[in-house]
Amino acid sequence: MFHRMSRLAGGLVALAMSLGLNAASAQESRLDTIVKRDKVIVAVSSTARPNGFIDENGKLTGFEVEVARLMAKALLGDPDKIELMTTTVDGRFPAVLSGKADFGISTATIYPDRAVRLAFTRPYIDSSTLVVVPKGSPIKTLADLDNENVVFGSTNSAAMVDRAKKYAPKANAIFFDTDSAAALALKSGRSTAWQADSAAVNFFVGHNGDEFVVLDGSLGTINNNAIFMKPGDFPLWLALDTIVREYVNGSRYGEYAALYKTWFGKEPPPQRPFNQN
Amino acid sequence: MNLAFILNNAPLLMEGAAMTVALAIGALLGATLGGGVVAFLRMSRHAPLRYVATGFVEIMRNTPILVQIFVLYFGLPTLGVHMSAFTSAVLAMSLQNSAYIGEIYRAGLVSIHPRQREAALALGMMPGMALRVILLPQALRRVLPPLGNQLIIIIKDTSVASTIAVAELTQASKLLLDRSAAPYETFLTVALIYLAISAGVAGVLKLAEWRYPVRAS
Repeated sequence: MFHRMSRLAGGLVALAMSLGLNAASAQESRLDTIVKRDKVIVAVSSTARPNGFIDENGKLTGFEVEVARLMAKALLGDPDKIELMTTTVDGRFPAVLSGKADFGISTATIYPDRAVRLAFTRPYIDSSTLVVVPKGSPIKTLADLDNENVVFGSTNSAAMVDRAKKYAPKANAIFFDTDSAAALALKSGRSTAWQADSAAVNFFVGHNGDEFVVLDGSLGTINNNAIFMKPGDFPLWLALDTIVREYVNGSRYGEYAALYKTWFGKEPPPQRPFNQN
Repeated sequence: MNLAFILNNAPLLMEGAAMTVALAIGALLGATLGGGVVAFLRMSRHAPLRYVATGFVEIMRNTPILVQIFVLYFGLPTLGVHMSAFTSAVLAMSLQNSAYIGEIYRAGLVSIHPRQREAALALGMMPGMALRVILLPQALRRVLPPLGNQLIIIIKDTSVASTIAVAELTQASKLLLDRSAAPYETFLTVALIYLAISAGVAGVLKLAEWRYPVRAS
C-alpha cells in the first residue's frame, strides 16, 4: 500500500514537474527558439510583384523576400538561414498567429483594427496607393474614378476596399485574391482601372509601359508597411523592431538603401539629419 | 472566441452567404439539367454524339475548376465574349458538374437490368415510354445518394468564385480576416454557415431518399 502510494506521489510530482517545465517553455520567447533552431521561418507573398514573386528562373525573390533575408542575416548572421513560407493575402496572418511562421513580411499595412490582434514593428517602407488605367482611357484623373462606367479593380484587402468606397463610390468595385489576378483583370479588360500598392504599380507599368499609364497623385494617405508577428512576445518584437530601425534609419542603412535601389530604382528616404552640435 | 466580433460583422457575412446561395442554386440547376443532357448523349445510338459527350466529360473532369473559371472570366473577353463574374462562375461550375452528374445518371441507368427494358418493349411500350415509366424512376432512386454528394460538392465549390471577384461568403470572410486579423472567429463562423447551407440540401436529399427508397429489382 505504501509502495503504491509513494509511486502515485512520485508520478504526481513528475507530472507537476513536466507541467511546470511546459509552462516555462510556453513562456520562452520565440527569439530563443529561432536562435536554437538556427533558422528563421518567415511568411512572405509569392504573388505580389515586386515584393514577393517567383522570377523567370523559378526563384522566390522580391523586395520583401530580400528584406526577410536581411532579417535572417541580422538575427543569425547568415541571410540563407531562412525558410520562406509563401502565403496568400488571407493566409499571412494565420501563418504567424498559428505559430507556423516566426513572423511575416507580406505587404501588411499597419491598420488599427489589426493592431488589436497582431504585433507590428515600425515600418520598413512607406507605400502609397496608385491607380493604373489603359492608355487612351477616358479616366484622366483620380476624380474621374467616381463614375458608374468605371470598373475599379484591386485586391480584397480592407484598405483597398475602404479606398474604393471612399474615393469612387459610384464605380463598380471588384476585388480579387491577389494583385496578379487584379492586374490580369485590367489587362483582359475586365476592369478599367486598378488600384494597388505603389511598388506593385511601378513594377507593372515598368513592364507594360506602352499599354498603361499611372494617374497623377496618390489615392488616400501614405501607408506604413511593417513586419507582423503574434502578439505577446516582447523579446522577439523588440529584436525585430530594433533590427528594422537599424536597417531603415541606423547602422545598416547602407544595405537597406542598396536593396531599395535594386527593386525600386531610386534612393530610399534619407536617414534622419545628423546633429553635429 | 469573441462572440461580439462575430455579431458585429454578421451583416457582411450574411451578404456573402446570400451570394453563395445564389451561386449554388444557379450551379445546382445548371449541373442537374446539364448532367441529363450529358447522360443522354453518352448513351446515344449515334457514335459522333457519344464521342462529343465523352470528350466533354474527360475535359471537364480532368481540369481544375479554378482553371475553367479563369478561362471563362479572363480568357473569353479576348474573343469578344463578356460574361459577368457571377455568370462565369455559375457556368463553369455547371459545366464541370454536368460531367460528373451525367456520369452519375448514366451509372444509374445502366444499373437497371436490360431485361426490364426488353420486358417493357415486349409489353408493347415504345422505347421512350419504357425509359420514362420503367427505367428512369428506378434509376433516379438509385442515383439519389451519389447525386447528393455531388450537390454538396457544388455548394462548397462556390468558394472558388471569390477568385474572380464574386463577393460570396469566402470573399467576405477573407475581407473580414484581413481587416481584423481574427482567423479563428472568422473561419469557424464561415465553416458553420457553409455547414448550415450544405446540411439544408443534404436534408432535402435524405427526405427524398426516404420517400423514394430503392426497391429490389
